[in-house]
Amino acid sequence: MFYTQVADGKLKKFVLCEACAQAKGITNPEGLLMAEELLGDAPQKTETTELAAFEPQDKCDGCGFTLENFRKVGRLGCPDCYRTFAQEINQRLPTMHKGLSHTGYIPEGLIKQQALRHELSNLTRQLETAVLEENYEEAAKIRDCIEELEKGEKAILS
Amino acid sequence: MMRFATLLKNPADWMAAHDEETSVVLTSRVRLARNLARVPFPGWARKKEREAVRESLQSKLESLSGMKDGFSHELSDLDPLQKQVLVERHLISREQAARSEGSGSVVNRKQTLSLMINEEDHLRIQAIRPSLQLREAYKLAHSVDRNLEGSVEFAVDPQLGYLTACPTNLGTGMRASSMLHLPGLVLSDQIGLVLKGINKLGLAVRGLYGEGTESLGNLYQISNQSTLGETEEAILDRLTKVIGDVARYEIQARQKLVIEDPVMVKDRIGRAAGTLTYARIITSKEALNHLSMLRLGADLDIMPAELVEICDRLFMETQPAHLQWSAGKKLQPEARDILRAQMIREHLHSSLPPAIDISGKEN
Repeated sequence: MFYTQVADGKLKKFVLCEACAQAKGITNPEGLLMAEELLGDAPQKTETTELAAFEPQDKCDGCGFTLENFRKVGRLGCPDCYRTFAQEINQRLPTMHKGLSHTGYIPEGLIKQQALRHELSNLTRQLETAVLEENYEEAAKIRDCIEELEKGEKAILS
Repeated sequence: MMRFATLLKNPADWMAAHDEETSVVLTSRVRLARNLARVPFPGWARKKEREAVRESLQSKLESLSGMKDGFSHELSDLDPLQKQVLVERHLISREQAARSEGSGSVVNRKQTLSLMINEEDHLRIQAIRPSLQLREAYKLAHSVDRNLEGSVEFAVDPQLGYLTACPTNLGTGMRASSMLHLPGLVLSDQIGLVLKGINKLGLAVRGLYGEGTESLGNLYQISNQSTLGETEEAILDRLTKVIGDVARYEIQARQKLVIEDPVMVKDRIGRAAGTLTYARIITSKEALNHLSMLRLGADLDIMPAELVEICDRLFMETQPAHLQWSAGKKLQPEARDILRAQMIREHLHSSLPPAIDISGKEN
């Protein structure tokens, strides 16, 4: 599990294994907020906005594939469908596979890059909120974080 | 680039290897399913999107070091017969042959690596090795996978691993399988029990051409079903162990048959040899079943040893599309059956010459 905390314009990153994450209660949304409290100043609201994407949806924003399509053919429209239809897919996985999480080979660089991209889009959203709320001090901090992350992304890509 | 005709003239490297090891396990295959991040899967993509994926992948695949001087084609450029030949060689899948717009196939010269573009997934990397060599096949496929990582962004998820069009391939995206010749277990009526046992272990057993195909020529494919929750090594280790066990059961069954029922075994092998050396009309199903018995005869030293290799070649070359390709034209099933019988007689002639020449003027 990747967990990132932004506090005082500084970025703290945690990589927790599944077992540790579970022990710390970081596998569910409430637990996540709890963890933030434990780890220091919690970034406001970000997790709740993020979670909206995980609510059941019957059409994939990325490719237009529907839940009904999936039920009919058993296949998905695009890689992003795995998020859109996570609930439905998770119900089916135990009948197909020995486990529910991947333990095999994974291209580390790619995963880091994706995690970074994910954080960037979170921060961008936070930045927008901060600007809307005219909380410029906070906005400046977030902007610095974004710049720092973008540097990191370039380092991974190069 | 290698032409289609050249590809076919050369038997694949895994078809030519023969020793003790290949007496039961003919080949081992590993295929890795990969997709491009944020791009619709081939089954849902628009034609334009599929074309774009094919174009970008095909040139990258062709320039891989191991693929130089290989075979690379857009499938829509091949005629139905050529596609069917590739299916019979296990170089593309039946599904891909049927839906070929925007699909491509890149095969190395030795035919040990077959890269399929826009099959069910954007990319399927398949490696084939002779005998029970699943780990070696995986190494080969994985080396292509890693070589592509720098230039292709694959769709992965930290929790779910590689994301595939069908959730049954999720995680490792790896399907590993071996092709086994099991006449001993079939003749001794133990095959049902063995197949049931394999299923209980969470592995799949299929006939010659994969999903939904019946077993012909006593050939069976054993593969993993689960792709998520275990490492590639764990899956390969379990498969290798189970397949090794099945191969040992097969050898034991053969030895037992020879001791306990030698007349029956020799009767089956002898009848097969008789039919194959004298038949003038033979269907592909009948040919496969007799060739299976002849191969068993050679493995048991009842028939000349070189017949193992000849039978394996004939398994491939007497299939409908290969046969028509060698004839240079499309043939009706009746004409195919005649040509098949002739091809078999020619191949067997030096090892099993018929006692009486009945050809007369016919050929």
